[in-house]
Amino acid sequence: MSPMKRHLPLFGAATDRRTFLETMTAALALAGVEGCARPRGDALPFDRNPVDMTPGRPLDYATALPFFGYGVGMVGKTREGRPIKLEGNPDHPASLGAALAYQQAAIWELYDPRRAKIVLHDGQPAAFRSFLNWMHRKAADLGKTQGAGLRLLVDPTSSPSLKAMRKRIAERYPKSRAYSFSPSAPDARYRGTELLFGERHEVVYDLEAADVIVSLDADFLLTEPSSIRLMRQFADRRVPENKPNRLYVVECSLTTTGMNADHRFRARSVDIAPIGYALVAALAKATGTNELSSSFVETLRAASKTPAVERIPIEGIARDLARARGRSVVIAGLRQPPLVHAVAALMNELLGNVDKTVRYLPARLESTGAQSDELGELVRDIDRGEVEVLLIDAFDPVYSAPVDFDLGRRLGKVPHTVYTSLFADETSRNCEWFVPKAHELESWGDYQAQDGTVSIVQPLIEPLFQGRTQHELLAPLLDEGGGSARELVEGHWREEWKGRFDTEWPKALVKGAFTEQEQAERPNSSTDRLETALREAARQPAPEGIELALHLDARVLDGRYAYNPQLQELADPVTRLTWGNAALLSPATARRLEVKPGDVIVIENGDKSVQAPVYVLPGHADDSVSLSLGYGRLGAPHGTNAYLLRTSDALWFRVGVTLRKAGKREVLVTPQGHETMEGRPIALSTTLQGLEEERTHLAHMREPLPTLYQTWHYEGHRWGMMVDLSRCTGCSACVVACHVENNGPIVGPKDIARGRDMHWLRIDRYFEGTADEPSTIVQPVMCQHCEMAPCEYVCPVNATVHSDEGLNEMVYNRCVGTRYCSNNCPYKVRRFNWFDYQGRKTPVEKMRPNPEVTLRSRGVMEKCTYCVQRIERARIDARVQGRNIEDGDVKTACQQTCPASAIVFGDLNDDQSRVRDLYDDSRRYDLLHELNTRPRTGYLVRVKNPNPELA
Amino acid sequence: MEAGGRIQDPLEPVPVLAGRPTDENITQSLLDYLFRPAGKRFWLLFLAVFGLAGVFLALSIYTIAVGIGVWGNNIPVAWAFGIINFVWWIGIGHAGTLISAILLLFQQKWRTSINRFAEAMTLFAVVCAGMYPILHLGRPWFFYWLFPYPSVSRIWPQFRSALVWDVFAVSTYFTVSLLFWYIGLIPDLATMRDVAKSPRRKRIYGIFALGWRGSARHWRHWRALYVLLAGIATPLVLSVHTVVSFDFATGILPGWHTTVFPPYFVAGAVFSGFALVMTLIIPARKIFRLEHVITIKHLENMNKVMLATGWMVAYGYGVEHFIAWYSGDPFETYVMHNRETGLYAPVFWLMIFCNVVVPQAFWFKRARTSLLFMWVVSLLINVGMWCERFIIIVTSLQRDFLPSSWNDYYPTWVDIGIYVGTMGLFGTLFLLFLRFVPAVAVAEVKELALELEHERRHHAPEESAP
Repeated sequence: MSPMKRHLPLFGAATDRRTFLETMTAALALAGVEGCARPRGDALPFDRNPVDMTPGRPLDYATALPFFGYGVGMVGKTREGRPIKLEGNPDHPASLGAALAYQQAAIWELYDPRRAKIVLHDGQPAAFRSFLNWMHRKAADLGKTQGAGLRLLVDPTSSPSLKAMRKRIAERYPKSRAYSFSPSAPDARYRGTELLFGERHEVVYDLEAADVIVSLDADFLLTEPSSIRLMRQFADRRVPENKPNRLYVVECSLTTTGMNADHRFRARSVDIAPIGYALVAALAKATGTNELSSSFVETLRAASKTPAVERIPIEGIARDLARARGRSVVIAGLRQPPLVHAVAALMNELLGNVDKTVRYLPARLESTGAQSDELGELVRDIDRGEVEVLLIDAFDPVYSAPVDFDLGRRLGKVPHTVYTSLFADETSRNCEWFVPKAHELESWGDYQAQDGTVSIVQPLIEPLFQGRTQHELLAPLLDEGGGSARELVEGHWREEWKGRFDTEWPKALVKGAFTEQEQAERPNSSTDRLETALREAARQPAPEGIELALHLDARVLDGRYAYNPQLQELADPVTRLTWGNAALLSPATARRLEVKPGDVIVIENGDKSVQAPVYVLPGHADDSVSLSLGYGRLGAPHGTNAYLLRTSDALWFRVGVTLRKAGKREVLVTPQGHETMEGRPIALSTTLQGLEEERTHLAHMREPLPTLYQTWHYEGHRWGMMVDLSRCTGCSACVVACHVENNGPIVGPKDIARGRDMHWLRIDRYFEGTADEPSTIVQPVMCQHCEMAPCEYVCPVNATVHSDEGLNEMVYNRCVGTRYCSNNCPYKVRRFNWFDYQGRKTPVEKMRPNPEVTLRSRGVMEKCTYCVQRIERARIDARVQGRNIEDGDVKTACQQTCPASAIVFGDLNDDQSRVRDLYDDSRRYDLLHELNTRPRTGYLVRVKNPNPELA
Repeated sequence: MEAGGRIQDPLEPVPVLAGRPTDENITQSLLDYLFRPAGKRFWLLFLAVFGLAGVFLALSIYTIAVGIGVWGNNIPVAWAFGIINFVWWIGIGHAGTLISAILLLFQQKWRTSINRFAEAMTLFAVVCAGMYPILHLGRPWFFYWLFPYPSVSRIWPQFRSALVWDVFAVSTYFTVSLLFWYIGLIPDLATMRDVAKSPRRKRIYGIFALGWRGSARHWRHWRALYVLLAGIATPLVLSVHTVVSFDFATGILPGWHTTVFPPYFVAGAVFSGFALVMTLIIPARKIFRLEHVITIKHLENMNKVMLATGWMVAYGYGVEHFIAWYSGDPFETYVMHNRETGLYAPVFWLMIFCNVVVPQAFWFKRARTSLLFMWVVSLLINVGMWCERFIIIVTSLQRDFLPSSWNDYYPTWVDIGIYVGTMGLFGTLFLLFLRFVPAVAVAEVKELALELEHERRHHAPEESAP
């Protein structure tokens, strides 16, 4: 169909001259009318400055972002009305002032020019008003049938107001149904508690008091609802002065949590459950408990008869746990079935950990059962023709639903479908109505954290593309008298707080977090249901063959962050891959299949198959191939779409897939060149037992070596940074925080593959030991701000110079780009603008950069500045207040976001500063000390705490 | 070859000038070709190299317009083809200066026939070399910031940087080479003016001859200046490549931070320079029928120089590897190990073959006097010396201190195009030189002829003996 015909159905086949002229005249006249329309709202310059706004000064607003449906309190920094940076909200228990890469990257999502901008009706642009009219009509129709044909498909959410709205919808349309679906929903943990306690509970871990932690395939440090808080608590207990904890991890693929384990064991995902059963049995013996019946223990033993169990020192772990009763915790991974969660909960019961390291609270996410079951019911409803109107407010279900549901085709059978999302995606193509969604930073809303803390989401900016909030989309169904996004949320809390609203609401907005009084639950466990399930499990034969293991991705999670170039370009904490995923194989399995890294393999699961390049991951379980979810999306076609292998009966893993070579090769895009340290003393680690011996050795690694040159002297400040490798988990939040704060460009996969990564701060990950059972160490490396900087003396134009406070400063407008400084930098932290990376921005993208940081032009070198703009901001503030800069006034972006508190920045000349404390710590050493560069950035040796019994 | 039925002097086995030409003979034989119209073959060759020079121009514009990212460089290999080619071209230039200046000071007679040729080569090689440091800048339009000039910002270059020394070294080298070449040309330009037929040519050559009349005074001044410039140029032979080697030696990178670099670079420069002179002169003496002035003796002597400098270069390789092993420094040892066995090991072994193994043939007289053989060897040495620079620059950067940043380097088509393009630029300049300027120093050859005649008359009493 030609464009003319599509847009102008006025002209029939036989248009005469008269009709044509009439129509065109009218069209011309109306074209003028369009110009007469007034812009919506008023735009006026500030006649008088708003009370709290000073041009040039950032304003902070508390808000929240959802993570697994739970809220993470954030503080958004805005400049002249534009949000430019997010930080964790220190008053929020799920953030504690820190944030992960996902939250840090949200700013890029907000200003993404590819975001959906217009309402679509059958793929054609439409006005939001016509959608509203349609909705109201439909609501009236549905009201007559008590909503018989109405179905909602929603992301599981903790939002109190949204939950209340959905409840009111259910009341108004009693025959309607709401299903929740998220490919990453933590439903298994809920159902685990259901299995043990008979009802669903929120499981809240508290690692502060945990001496011994056992993770059964749980990546609790990175890809779990409360990862930020858990990482902080975990890291606080990693330093030798603070009674170090001990972490045992049993997992399939190597995860961030596994990298930080004191003892890590690998097993196929399917073998984790038997290992869990065996651990309970061993624990029963080690604790000498009589809580478990002997028949139950027998069942456990019967169910744990697999070879995988024998490779793991179950007894030793159990004894260690038993020694730490009430001070230990067992965590099962979200990928594992409810039975494993129930077993983990049972162990926590046996160890007396409840109310100490694990608490049970009311379930926050509204969901009635397994996610795939709920979606399955919707599919059945559709097949029976019961669905007339389907409202979808969930993460791209056509892309992420189990492939056997064939949701894309089924949506076509529903007469009316409505979908809202930030981006046009797989689902929007299959829906009648598509409404652009407002970004969280443009929305009003509320979220609850796992522990019940509520945060109000307040917008930092008006919707850029006229997106609508989740509340606004549901409002027409309720017909409660319209209302803006704000009124809808306010209304809920007005109701909730009754008379207190006027005092509570402003407080909630300012603080960003409030807690309603709530009693921890002390559910009664019963092993009966468990025993039945275990009997069933024991009857199953031990699964043999190659396992397909699907994982949440450490960067794009389940794909919901896949459109974000910040996260695509971030190197995976474990594999260090960017712009895509890969089929992870253990070295032994790769050898057996005769594949090398980069060889493309075909993974066949029944009649479904995908192709993916092989990445040989040391420490991966044998006979298992791991693929992370979230890639190969419509608007982010990088990597392999693992959802094409995901079926409703095996959401996370299945044994019995076949692998064969595709006979092609693909480039694995990674900024890291080499996986081992080649025996060089770079990222150092020791054990708690070996630390004393190591201290004398480390003393030699920080003493300045003699030099012929004059050294610098500092009267005022002497900035320095310490990185504690004992704390650092490698989560990479700092990398994104740095990149957003300092306006780092995204260069794309081609340039990353060429070695042109632009991150000022990178995390090096090294494997040590054997390829099968490696130990992993991570090391954040940024500019070391050397006292005797090799870059400074080679620059021919004085473009990189030493400041009087010890910073190695980069003068962009003096740089001519010889790149000599980078060649001579032993840490290779300098980054070069090979192309005009900062140019060609759309108007929306131009709103994103931090105005306090120069955008670097083509052909100049750049590198970490120790966030010099933050130092200057603190200096100005201190001078205005007539005082000195105090310790803690300056926090670098990496330091501020670090959930592990691994990075500390401050004044080395200040004896009282935290950084000075760490500088004087006997664990400190200089990276590449023998070069006598005398770096400002120091590293504190990593101390592991292995179990001497197992060593 | 025996001249005048003499018994050959074993130390001067072959004459440096064949026959006993008169001045007219020399003028005629050496300048004749300049007045003949260019042949078809010349035009074909010229079009080929001019086309390549066009490629160079186009790709340079492309690089400057789009960004240095169109080259294959990355972090850590931030220097690659640009600097490799720079060092290679600069090195090549050294032979010219060595032949003209040092041999002049040592009064080596055999230099006369080839010095002009070699000097022109120097000049054009430095022109080609000079393109790279500018092109490879991130912001080439600010290249002049490397020069110490009184700018309003009052920022000076950073004098501790070897790159600033480089700017001085190379620009001095270019200036002196140009002056030396031009001063040497003046008597010949005058001859050209005198023998030229068309008035336009007479005029143009006349302007460049600066009113040379060949008076004794002129000769006296000219000679003083020429020797003086030779004196100035002589240390440059050593200093330029020494400073170029400082670009690497002052860095802290394993594989760069080496004290043997200055002598090793100078020897390499002379080695490669002589090789290129051979590559060009062998066909040129044939095409322009200069066999009687550029005799086999010249070529043989040059082969001997190459044998000697080849050994110096080989010593450099040896010392690098020995010190790396002897120091016990793990970074240093690894870099050398990587050169021998890593990704670029084929380049390394090609370098060893071309620079160390092949020149050993010159121990044999038959090899030293076989035109085809020495021409092939000279080509191989040029390849080998390019490989040497590649090995030094790329393999050191590619595997430095922190393994996490290791990365490999692959050139893009732009890299290769620009390299081939500068060869076109060089060829274009060289062909223009051959067309318009006497390729052999006519006046000096005449002088040599007279000197030889003089020697025969007064210092050859044995000549009468059978």
